[in-house]
Amino acid sequence: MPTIGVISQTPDNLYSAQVIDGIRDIAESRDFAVSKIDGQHYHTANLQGIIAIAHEAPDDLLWQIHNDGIPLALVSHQVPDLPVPSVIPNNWLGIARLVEHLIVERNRSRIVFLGGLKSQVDAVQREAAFRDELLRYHITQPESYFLRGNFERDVAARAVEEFAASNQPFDALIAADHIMGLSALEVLREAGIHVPKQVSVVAFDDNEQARRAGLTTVAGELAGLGRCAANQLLAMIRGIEVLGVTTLGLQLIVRRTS
Amino acid sequence: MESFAVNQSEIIQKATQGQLKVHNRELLLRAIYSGEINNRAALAQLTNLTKGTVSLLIAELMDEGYLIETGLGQVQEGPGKPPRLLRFVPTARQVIGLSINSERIEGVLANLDGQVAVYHKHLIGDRKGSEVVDLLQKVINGLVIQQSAQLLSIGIGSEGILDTQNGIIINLPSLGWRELPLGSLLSEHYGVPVYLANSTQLVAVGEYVFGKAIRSSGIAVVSVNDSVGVGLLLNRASYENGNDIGEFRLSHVPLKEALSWQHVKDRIHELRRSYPATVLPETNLTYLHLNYASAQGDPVALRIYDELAETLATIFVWIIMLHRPDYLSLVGQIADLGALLLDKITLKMQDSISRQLINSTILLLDSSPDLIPIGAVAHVLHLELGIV
Repeated sequence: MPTIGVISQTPDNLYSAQVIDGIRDIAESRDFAVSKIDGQHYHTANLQGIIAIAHEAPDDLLWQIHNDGIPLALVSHQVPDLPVPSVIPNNWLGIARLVEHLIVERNRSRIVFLGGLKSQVDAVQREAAFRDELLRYHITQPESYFLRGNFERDVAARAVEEFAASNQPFDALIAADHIMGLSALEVLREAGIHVPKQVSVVAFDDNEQARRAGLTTVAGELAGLGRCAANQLLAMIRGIEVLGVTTLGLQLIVRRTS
Repeated sequence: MESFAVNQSEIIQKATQGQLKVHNRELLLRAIYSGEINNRAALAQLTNLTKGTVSLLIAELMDEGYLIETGLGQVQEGPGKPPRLLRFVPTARQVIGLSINSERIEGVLANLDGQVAVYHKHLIGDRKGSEVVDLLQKVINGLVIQQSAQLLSIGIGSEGILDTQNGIIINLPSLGWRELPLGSLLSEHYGVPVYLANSTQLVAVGEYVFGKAIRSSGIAVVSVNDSVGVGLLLNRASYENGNDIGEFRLSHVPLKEALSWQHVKDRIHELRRSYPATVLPETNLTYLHLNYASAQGDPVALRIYDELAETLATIFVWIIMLHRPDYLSLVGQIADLGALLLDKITLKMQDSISRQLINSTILLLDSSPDLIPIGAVAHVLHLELGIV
């Protein structure tokens, strides 16, 4: 059976797992198998094409794959000048919606931003979008309100714990993904801070866990990213030339935490 | 001669009947799409078509997937069967809307209600001529491959001089396009109708159909991007037009220069010497920085606002005087300057026209990047289905 390879160093993390689910949906419906691969050995795997998720394959490896003539698509990643299509969440629109919700609908003004991994394109765009929105609403925020969570539960928890203990006033928190958002919720509740009465908590991306926790999110369906990337790759395997960056529409889902 | 005359009249009759059928389909679709009417009897009443004609056309539209029945309604008065309710199916087809300018090609794949399923874009870089056409096809491919329904049509918004009737880009120097039959080229490749229109005009169409100007009697749009454009949709959409006015000179300077981002940056650079304590950053400056700085009372920012407002007020005054639109929207990244810009434009306009006249038009701002592709979608829905 023809096979698509997926490069993801952390295939079991929630983010990658959902993206890979989406890839499988499309690939298997078109009789392609999906195989998680170690990027360094891609040339031995007899693959029709490769999808690389996030920043987990180094840029020079991606160039090598492309130069070897293997169809390649990227999810949540872009490499300057590399002529392959990619799919990324609509980071600018998503953050703009979250900020608008907090400031206009919930009257918040001291917003902490819990960011992702500095080297990853979604993290960079979401933080840049947040800074732009602060300008738009004329809000001055010290750098101490920008926390680093690296898209990891424990790192995010420590960052929020430290901030909460610093006694700097805040009334909202935006987490750059729902994993960190859920972590922040736990920390704030343990610290005796009432959500949403004292602090609204919102996050980027949505899933069943976020729904159960009542987390307000802006939903860019992760499996949808995988499906789009699979569509791109399968088209290229069929000989259709595709270039550009695809982003998906998203919506604000207001729940208990805001 | 006689047989020729008979043939001609048969041809004319068939053409007229064909057009009539299209017209009637559009009438029915529009009534159901708008939510005005949802059953056959009411459609017949509204349109003055016979019940038989309505039923035939509805059956056709249902076969094609545009309409479904959703159950039984209530009997309005007297005896009779309850009507079978009809609903428009926005996912029956999808439409691609595109925007092309000197920097990028961007597009949307949308359902028939304007809901965007997917956005897609690519920078043009140094490409010119046929390289841009090649890139355009690769971007369109990026949308086509994400389809979840049959593609109805493609709409394209562009600047430059266009022959929109024949889908030809007559002259667009920034892309090295001259006498390019873009419409037919793409139509042949993708097997669907392709419609071309002025970008700013499409913004007006999009705002009228899906945006803030829904059900108004008209909207005018001023766009500031590579150049300056004006788009009009007036008299309940009976008149629409759009054109580039970037070459028009105010105080000897073309509008597209006077309102350009480069000009703004150059002015800021000059004004820094007089106001070295400005809060505006030296690098990575954006309109949002100006917005923020103006709220801090920064003199450089406020001066820029005044200068831009002066120029824009002149354009706005002419549009309001000539056309009296319900809405006048300023679009493009310049809209990130925010409400203060509109306040200053309003003040400047009072030098030329009465407050009453100014207040008869609602001023809007919109910096969304997808206005042109969404407008292209609305344009296509109007031309292909007549539903908007």
